[in-house]
Amino acid sequence: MLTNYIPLALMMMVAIGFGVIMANLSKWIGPRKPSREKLSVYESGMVPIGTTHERVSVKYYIVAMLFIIFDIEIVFLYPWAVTFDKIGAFALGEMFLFIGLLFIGYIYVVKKGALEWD
Amino acid sequence: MNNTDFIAALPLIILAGTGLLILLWDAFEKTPSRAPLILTMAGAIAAAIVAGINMTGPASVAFGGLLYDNAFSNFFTIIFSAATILTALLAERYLLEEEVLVGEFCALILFAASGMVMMASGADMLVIFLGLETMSIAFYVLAGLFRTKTESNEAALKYFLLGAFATGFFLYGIALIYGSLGTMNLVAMSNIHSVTTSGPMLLLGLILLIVGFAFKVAAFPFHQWAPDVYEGAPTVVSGYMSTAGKAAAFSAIVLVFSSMPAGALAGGAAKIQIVIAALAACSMLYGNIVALSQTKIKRMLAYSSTAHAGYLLLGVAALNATGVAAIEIYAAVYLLMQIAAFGIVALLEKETGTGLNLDDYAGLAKRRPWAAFLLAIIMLSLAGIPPFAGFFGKYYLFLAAINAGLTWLAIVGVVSSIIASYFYLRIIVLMYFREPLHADDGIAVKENNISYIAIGLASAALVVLGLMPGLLTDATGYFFK
Repeated sequence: MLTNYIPLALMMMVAIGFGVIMANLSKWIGPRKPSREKLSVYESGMVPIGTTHERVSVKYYIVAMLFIIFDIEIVFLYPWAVTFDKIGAFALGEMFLFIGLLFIGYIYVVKKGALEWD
Repeated sequence: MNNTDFIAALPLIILAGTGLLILLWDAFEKTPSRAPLILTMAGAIAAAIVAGINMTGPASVAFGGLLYDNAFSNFFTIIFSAATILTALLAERYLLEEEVLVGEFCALILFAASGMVMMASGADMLVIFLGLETMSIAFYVLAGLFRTKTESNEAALKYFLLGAFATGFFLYGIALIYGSLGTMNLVAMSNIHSVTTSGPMLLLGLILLIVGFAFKVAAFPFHQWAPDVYEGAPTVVSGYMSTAGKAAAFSAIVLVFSSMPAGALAGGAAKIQIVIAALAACSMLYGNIVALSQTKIKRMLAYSSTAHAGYLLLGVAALNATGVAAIEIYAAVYLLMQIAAFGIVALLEKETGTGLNLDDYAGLAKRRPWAAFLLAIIMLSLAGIPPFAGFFGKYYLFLAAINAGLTWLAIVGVVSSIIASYFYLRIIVLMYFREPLHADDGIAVKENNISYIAIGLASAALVVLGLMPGLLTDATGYFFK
């Protein structure tokens, strides 16, 4: 039973060993000329301004929530589109029903002014 | 896929469709009016009628084994529709006065009702889960309907966080049951004859499922949210979620547990039974004893609802034909009692949140004789005093427990009922034999005939069903036929 785990344990040992050895090898062998730029935290894009823990307008959350809902709609559309020719007209009707239900929600959202920022 | 499938799902489609219609109406109509409430009642009445017609037809499983259409599911559909109608009637004045979003309220109670119907007729654990989530999310929003009140926000947040956590347990339970039985379909599950991999995994799955359900019905160790949520939520919403929501959870428990393949649990069945029996006993005793010391009526009703969940768990612990019928009967009776009780509280409370202390009810009989009279009937029924329906509901539950060999549990139930009668009867004593405490009576003067009609109807039903319990027992006699 437990012998089944030997390859797994070996692989983990190799993985950890490889990581430790490689990181330390570059530390020992490589030349080191530290500068201010090199010591700073690597960030892609702009140099960060201020803290990330800022208060965000509550309206942002409504937009974010609505974005997720419609994002999920798209996620549902993909598998349906891939298998569309196999599952046929019934699935077409079901998908229209699904989009129709979401559309009612969309009308409600627009009419209630959830998408107006000001 | 054929027409009978859609007829089986018609109550569900009507409830959800009416909700959507109200949502659309609300998007275009800016002035608050009674129209959504009338539409809600029309939808619920239509759903109940269709369910009643389906009930007399042959039992079937629709959508390739996803949705039951039998006496059990239709009985509960009728119960949920009745709860929706009563809530809409009670909410009328309350909502227009408090200037709450009437359209949203109506749409949400209908969505919740459609979720409940899914739970009571789900033949697949995923459908039950979907129903549970539809119902719960609607309830989270409903609890926070008074957006400007701190208590209401607190109730919504508490309910949401704890509810989401409990949902996790529930889902993990489903996963483990699927892992050990290889199916989530209840029909397929009950047809499994030999189980090769039962044991701890299935047992653990069922226990996690019980945790999820026990949270939703506010049974003893998982009840802490109930008093705060019921107190903070709008009163009519509290009435709705403590009754219809509870009934829905119990219908789903019964569906899942009665579909467990015989022999799958082997020795585990007795362990599960003892767990449920312990939950039942603790809920009954704890709920009733803590309710004794409450000074606010909504908190008292919340603790007593924990106790009533305990009574209903008695039927689950028994899990025989009597137990299932008893759960159906008690769910219906409890729904009438509790919604009417919260209805009276809603009628008497002031906008400022006063009028909710038990002391405010002192001398009510002199000032509001009708409200006092109706509340007296409801309290006697909640206590389980014989001429009213509450007595027969409890009687069948205790009978089921005794038939299943759980005599000790029935004794605990009777003892806790005696404890409970103290705080139910105390309200009657306060109303009829005490003088008002304050010159300003602390209770709102709202004359609202529609609320009185709803509460009167519920109370009349309690008396009629108490005198003729055969009406309910006949309706439940078809279980799984």
